[in-house]
Amino acid sequence: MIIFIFYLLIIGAGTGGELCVSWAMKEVGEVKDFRPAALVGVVIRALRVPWMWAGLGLMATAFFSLLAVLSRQNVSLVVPVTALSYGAGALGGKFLLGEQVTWRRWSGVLLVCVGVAVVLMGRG
Amino acid sequence: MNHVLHMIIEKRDSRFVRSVNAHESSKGPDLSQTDGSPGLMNFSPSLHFKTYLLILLMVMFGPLGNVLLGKGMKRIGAVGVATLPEALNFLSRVLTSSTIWLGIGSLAIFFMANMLVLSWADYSYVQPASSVAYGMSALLAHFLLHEVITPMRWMGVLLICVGVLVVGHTPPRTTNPVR
Repeated sequence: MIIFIFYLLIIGAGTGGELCVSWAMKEVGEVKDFRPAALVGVVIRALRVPWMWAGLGLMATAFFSLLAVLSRQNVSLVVPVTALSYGAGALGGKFLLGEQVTWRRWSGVLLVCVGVAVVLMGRG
Repeated sequence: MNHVLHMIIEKRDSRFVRSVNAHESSKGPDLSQTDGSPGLMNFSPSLHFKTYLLILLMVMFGPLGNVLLGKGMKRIGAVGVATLPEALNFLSRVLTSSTIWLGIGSLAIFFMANMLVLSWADYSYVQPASSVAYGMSALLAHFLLHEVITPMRWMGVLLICVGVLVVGHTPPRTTNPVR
């Protein structure tokens, strides 16, 4: 049961956190200068966006859940399970971030999800 | 590394601009690439290139970080976190493990690349495109942690990679930049 809750946190909080980070980075704007000083500026600007902090908090929750699960189960099982967040990610991208998730992108996401299911069924 | 990345992109951008200038008088290259959906943003090859480059960094350092964390946590073993002393003991063992710190370093590089690419690319593009990392994770788990990967699991990894290829053929950005 506890493992199930940890997996739920890895997927739910992880995807929610990344959606928040994505939203924050869109507010920061496209990064075109990759010099170290410019990158520091990007990080500082990003940290001024509240969505970034919400994202970091959610991702930290997912990270510690991942650590807890990794101490109990194999990496080759744990990591593919986290891929279930792809469906949630595409939905979040479409409905929360206003991205155009085309039929081609959906079919790619579907293939990824089927791949994850096959990986799980092939648990040795 | 960031400086090198900047130089590569700058060099590629200037090469692309030269190519555009050379063809401007005639037909000129078609900079837009859509998958048939209306309203998709136009994007240049340099945008595609830097998107791929950062996703490559994510694919390399994400799995490496996971495997290092897995290795570090296996050494620590299953520990309880129900009471405060147990939780503190768990935390101190995690924070004194060099393998876990290497894993955290790798994941920090992964996170930085993720942040940068999300400043222009769709989340629904970056997330599935970076799932090539699952194949990389299986390889690393097999060769570094000596975990058994069944043929069926390899088949799943292959399906994931095909899905990523399909997503990779959609435009990286479909929303208007905020600024």
